[in-house]
Amino acid sequence: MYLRYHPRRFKAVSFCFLIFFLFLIGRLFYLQFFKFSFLKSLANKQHNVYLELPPLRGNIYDRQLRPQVINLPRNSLYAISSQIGDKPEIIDKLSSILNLEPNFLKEKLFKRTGFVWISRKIDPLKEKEISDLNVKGLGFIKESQRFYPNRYLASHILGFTDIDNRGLEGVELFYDDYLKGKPGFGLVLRDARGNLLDFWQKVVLPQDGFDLVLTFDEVIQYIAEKELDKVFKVFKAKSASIVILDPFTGEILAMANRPTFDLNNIRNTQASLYRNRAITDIFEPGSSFKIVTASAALESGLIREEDRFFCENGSYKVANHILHDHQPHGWLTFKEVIEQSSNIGTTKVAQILGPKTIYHYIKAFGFGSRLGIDLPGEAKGMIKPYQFWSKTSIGAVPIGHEVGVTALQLVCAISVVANGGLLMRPFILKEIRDKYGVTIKKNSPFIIRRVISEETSRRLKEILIGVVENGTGKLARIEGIKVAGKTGTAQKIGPDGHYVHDKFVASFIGFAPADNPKIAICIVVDEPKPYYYGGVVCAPVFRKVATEVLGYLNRDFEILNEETLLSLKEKNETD
Amino acid sequence: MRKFIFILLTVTGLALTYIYQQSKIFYLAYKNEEKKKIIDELIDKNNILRYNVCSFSSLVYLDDKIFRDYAELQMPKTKMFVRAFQSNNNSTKLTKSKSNLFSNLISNLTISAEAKEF
Repeated sequence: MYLRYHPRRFKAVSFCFLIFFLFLIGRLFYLQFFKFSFLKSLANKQHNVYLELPPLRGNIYDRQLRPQVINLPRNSLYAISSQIGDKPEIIDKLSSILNLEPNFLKEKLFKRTGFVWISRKIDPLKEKEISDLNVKGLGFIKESQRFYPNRYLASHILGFTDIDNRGLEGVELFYDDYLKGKPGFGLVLRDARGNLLDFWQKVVLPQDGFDLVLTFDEVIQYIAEKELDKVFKVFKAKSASIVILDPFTGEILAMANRPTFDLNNIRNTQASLYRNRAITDIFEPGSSFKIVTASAALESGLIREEDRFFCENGSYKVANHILHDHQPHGWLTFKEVIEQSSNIGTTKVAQILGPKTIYHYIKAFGFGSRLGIDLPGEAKGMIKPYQFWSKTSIGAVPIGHEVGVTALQLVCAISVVANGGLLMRPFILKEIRDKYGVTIKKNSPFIIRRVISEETSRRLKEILIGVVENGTGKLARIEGIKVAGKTGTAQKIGPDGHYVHDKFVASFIGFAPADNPKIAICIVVDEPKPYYYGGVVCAPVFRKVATEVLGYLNRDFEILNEETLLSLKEKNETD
Repeated sequence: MRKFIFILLTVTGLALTYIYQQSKIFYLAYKNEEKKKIIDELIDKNNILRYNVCSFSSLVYLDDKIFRDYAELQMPKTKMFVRAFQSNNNSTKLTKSKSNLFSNLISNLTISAEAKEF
């Protein structure tokens, strides 16, 4: 065997190869230098996916760090309608599983071709049913949803979010900027089948929202809501509110309203129930407001507790209006005027003080302006400047008519008496923490102003103790604990602008223990039936709530284990 | 010729090493993705369980489901012993009269509670 050498052929083939390689090099050169950016972007599009990384919304805790809201995963159903085959059949099936109108689905699947949401954050059981259908063009995307383990408890404080986890009410709205966090993004590699790989080209991590620690206490809130619920149902009221405050700091310990709603079932709730009536609804407080007149009287030095007033046996003419007491009184001391809640006696006191002084103290107590609570929708209330008072106003304003106040303003006003004369700013946020538990912002008690002197507050406290011991607030008495408070019953104004005789607002404001106040409470019940006096409707609620809350705060009980219990039993038997 | 073969083998070797390295990276990326899915599932389960624990120990739930027919949730009095014991059968009922119970002292749902004043 031998090889023949053909130089011509060899050269020709080599030349062909050379031309071919030159062509390849030329092409390579062209692609690398002239088409580089185009091809690079094309390759990036094929290999990389841009993903937005949603942050986890912050949690909310009560003051004892009990979780009030938890983020849970929920899948949302989407469709790429161009990929769906038998659309009418799919629409039938989806509408029966998801309880959606077929027309709604038709519009989604027939009129659009690309990505479209069918139903967001659906129930896991429904999700399984849809998965079992195994339809091409339908898919799920995991999202997070807010769930509230206490359902309706503190619903007006916590508020809720929309489908995209944006705050809509309550703390969820007010502190949305802190809770929502910042989304991140990343470029992640995917394979030829479109599966994502844990291979990040670029990544900016999301910043999760901050956690909020609120001032309210779940147990106190529960106690307040339980009793509020009872009074709301028993007296068939139109609405009811309760606010419990730490009088020295302004921390909200509980705030509730009736009717209320379940935070886990927002979609089926009337929007009118979302309103936090304790801070948004204004009403005429009636006699509860007399603490302002009494404060003005004592602080100005014009009136003393022993000064006597003739209460006209229950009927007194102010301008062209006849004023009545709920029961006729003759001569009463100033202390008794407040204890017995005499409208005539209080009006006579106000006439001595004059409208200007009364108005000054009304404003000083914080009525007619926002107190600055960190919840959305706080109302200012309605206070007419004294220059615009009518001739009858001096017989109305000092006894809590012709004024509009909120339950929050009332509880802050009674706190002034409880804490020695300071108006504190009420607040619901205790602190903001990051996800590692480090405090990044803390709310401190804030004094708005001094309203009355400590001496006046002490004297007024004694009068308010008398209201509960001897006056209209007897049903608020607690065995072994001194209670100070004031009842209020106000007729409501009808649509024609006149007072109606069958609609009332009952209220009670008070604090306990009177000598070292730990809680200040305001209870307001709108249109209670058949009884409507604040002393009958609201005072017992105060007693029950204050008894349990003080018991809880003092922790005057022990949790014993089995062994200790047995040893105590043995000791009892031997004794 | 030898030189050429040597260069060819070296280049081929390097190319294969690069391909092996890349395939290994992708293999690990797949593995990691699977593990990430498992971790995500576990985190989700953990959140769901946490939510269930919070819901079941919630005062609202206990009031609704357990105590409604027997007693009202209340703060215990100063001289009151709250005794928690394991329920042996479903027929075990709570003491109906004078049962002043406070739910969150009794944390587990499988435990029944009885309160007695001494």
